[in-house]
Amino acid sequence: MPPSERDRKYDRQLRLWAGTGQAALEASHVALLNASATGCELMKNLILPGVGEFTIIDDSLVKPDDLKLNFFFNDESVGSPRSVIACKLLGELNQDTRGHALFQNPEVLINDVDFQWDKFSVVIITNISESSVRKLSNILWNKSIPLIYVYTVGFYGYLRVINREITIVDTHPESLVDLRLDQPWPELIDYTMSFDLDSLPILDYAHVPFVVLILKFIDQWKSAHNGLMPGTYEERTQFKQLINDARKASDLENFDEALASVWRISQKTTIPPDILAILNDPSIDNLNEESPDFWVLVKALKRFTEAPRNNGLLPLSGVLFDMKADTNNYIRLQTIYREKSLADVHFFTELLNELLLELNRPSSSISSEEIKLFCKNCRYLNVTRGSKLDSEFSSEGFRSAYELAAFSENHDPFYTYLALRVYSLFLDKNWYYSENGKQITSRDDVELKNLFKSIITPFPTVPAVEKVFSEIIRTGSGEFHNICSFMGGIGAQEILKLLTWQYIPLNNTIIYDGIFGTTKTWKL
Amino acid sequence: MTINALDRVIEIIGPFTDESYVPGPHVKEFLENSKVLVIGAGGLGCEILKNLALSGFKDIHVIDMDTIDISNLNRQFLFRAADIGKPKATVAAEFVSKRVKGVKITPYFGKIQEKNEEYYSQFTLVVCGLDSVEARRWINALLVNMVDDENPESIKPLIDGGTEGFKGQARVIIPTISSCYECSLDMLGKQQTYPICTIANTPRLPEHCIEWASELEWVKVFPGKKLDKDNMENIQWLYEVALQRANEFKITGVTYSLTQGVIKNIIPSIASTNAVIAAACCNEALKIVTSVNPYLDNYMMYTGNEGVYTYTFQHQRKEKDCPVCGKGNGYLTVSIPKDITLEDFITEELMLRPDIKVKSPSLRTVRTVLYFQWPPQLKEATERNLSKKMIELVNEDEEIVITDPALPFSLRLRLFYE
Repeated sequence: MPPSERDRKYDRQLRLWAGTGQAALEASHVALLNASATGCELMKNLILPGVGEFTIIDDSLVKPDDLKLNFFFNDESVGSPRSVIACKLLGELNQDTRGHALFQNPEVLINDVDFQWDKFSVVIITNISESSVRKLSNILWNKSIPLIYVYTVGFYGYLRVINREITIVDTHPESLVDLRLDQPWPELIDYTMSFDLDSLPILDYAHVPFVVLILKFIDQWKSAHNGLMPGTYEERTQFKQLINDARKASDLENFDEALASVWRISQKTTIPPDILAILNDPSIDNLNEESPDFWVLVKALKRFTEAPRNNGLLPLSGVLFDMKADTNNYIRLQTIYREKSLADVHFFTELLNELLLELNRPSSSISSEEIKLFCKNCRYLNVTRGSKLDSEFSSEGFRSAYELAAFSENHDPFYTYLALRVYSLFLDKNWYYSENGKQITSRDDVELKNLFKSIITPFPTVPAVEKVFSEIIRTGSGEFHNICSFMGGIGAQEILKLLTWQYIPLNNTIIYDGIFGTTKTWKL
Repeated sequence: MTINALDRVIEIIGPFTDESYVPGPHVKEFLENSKVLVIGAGGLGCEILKNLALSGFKDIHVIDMDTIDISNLNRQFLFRAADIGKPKATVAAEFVSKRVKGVKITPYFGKIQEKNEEYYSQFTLVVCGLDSVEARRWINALLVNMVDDENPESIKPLIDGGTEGFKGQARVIIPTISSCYECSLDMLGKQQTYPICTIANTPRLPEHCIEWASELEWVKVFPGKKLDKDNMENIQWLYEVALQRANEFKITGVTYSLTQGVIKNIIPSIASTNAVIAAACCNEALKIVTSVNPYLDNYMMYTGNEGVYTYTFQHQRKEKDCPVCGKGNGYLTVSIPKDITLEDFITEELMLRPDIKVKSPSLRTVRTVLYFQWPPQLKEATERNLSKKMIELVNEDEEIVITDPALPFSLRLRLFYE
């Protein structure tokens, strides 16, 4: 059936996050504190793909200077509330999104204990005093609502995602193929054995899937080597020779594919370390009725790998890539992989249902689509745990990045990060964020350096940091639209991941250096 | 409080600015008087126009040959549902000039190939936001050709952006000085194609069934009728035919969406990646024109699907071997099997290799014409060569010159018989 008008409008993004991601996005409500250029650019990139609702919180009026930096104010709007104008001009981008303007001071709102933050899926805060950001970040941390903190100065941008935890099943790895050449199961072995290579006419011979070839030659190798696989580099070279010697003609693509895949058998099929860590996560120790589906699924997955029949293996993805073969043999092989995968899902579901029963949950409370997706992606699950903004300068990541920077020969981006953070704390201390706030000037240089020393104790500034300070001073607390727009792009992308529960999110800090065209991320 | 940084930075030397930078009001004057060309008014183009207008450029031109489609609206933020069917360049130009006062935007609804050197020489620089390799090759070759060693103003920096899903790249090309677009063609992967014998005899993937419907069945059922890839009824027909074939072979996965994706070679595209790449490009445009800070040297790769990762590096020029900016008598060397025919050489090598990738090439050596697409008499006379083996037609020490109507330059190559 031809697609609906809505699907046609969103076609280019549905190819990335599909209907499930789109539905999650449309069920979300995003808040923006301060209708800054960066904030409006970010919102633009969420409204276009169809975020459900957005709220812009701002109590200032549009000034002529705003028009030079922010595309979502116009000439006629000078003197009107920024929240109202931004809400209107951004709202025009998508009829399916509902926008709200809140003509209120964001800092006052943060101090309002009665304000209901719970209706927001994500909150964005830009160009607001650091102390208010800290206050808000603690409020939202306790409610497990992600906060995106972003600001720019001159050619630099800073963004941090402050989020407790997100668990992602659909991480979109490059490939989900899992061939298990080292651990074939009975159906795959039977199928392989059904081929008698010597008796095949050359045309059929040229269409035997390489998976069958490899398994046959492994079998041959094992019987000559006490049942052992080719393990060392030398043995694999000999194994290749074995395959090469057997080929009946030079131009056999399936043999070429087999040779090119010999490296796969040297990688024993096991549980990847990241996944092992998830299986051993304390989150599965005390599950109850209320526990998130993800951790319930992980516990079932752990039981799956511990079941004797599964040999410590994860469920099979059942995905096969294309290979030289005739239709029947390829489809047969594909069916064997799919059926094994279905059998794994079936057994997994049994274990899951037992677990749900233990947790007093009905067995149908996790849908079969969810289970299938989980099993298919279980080699690539992602758990991202963030940290509080308050622990930034005492974090392990901070210490190690600082030590590493000292060894760097060129300008280490970590120094840029330090300077940007001290700058923000400086603004906070000096009330630059007021309605008629002043600009930073060269007289502030000493203050910046002192502040650096008091925050980043016991380290004094280094020339690299001082250079960035002087670049910041040069721009007089000013911003460039390009940098705002760049950071708005990054911020929206990260929010899209959090809202769709797909792809792998940034954890947790990024800076953009628009002078050298570089970015760098840290976990701080 | 909003402070625009531009007015400040032009007055002061920064710690990273080039030694030759002279601050002062003339910098802004130069910025405002410079004429800049934007190629493409799509996902990147809309962002680029906005960014340049808010960067202080006052005289912006934009070229785009497309009209607005419903599938553009998820990212091309200057367009509304009511604009569907209208030229992108015109609507985008009108929107931005209305929103940002004092900026003049001149649209041209048409192809870049319709404009000549004189037209391109009026610009200070060119910013490209295209999805076509062919158009990029064309403008790149033209700008390289326009360079007159005696006249530094003839060097027109080309800033090129591209995106695909969560990935993208931004780069600065200073024609004849830094690596050009042609120098980096081999960074593109070999185009995904499906051998005709697989499509006809041993289909395995849903894509094979779709190709069967479009490449074989369409021509059989509608001889002489051109497939309109934008026509939903045509796509629906292909989908049904492909689905039927898939069912016959027990192949799963043929959907309308996949059919459309394969036929139109659709690349996923989202607002956020376009915003990142366009901003990176326009930031370079601003730095190049004002010199307030050094510009990108010369390539930034962006990946956003796993956290955020960028790789910034200097892509090296192919000093000698680049067919466009190479100084020497550069030529490409292509290894081919001894028994390959001219026809297979054209369809399997010249049309697929990322660093050649021509659509309808004509080939000659100094000695003889191998194959010419035009004029008809020459085409007819050379067509009989197609079934001959390359080794019978060309020696290893001979140079083959390839021309193609889509390329404003010729490619030279030599063969190596494996």
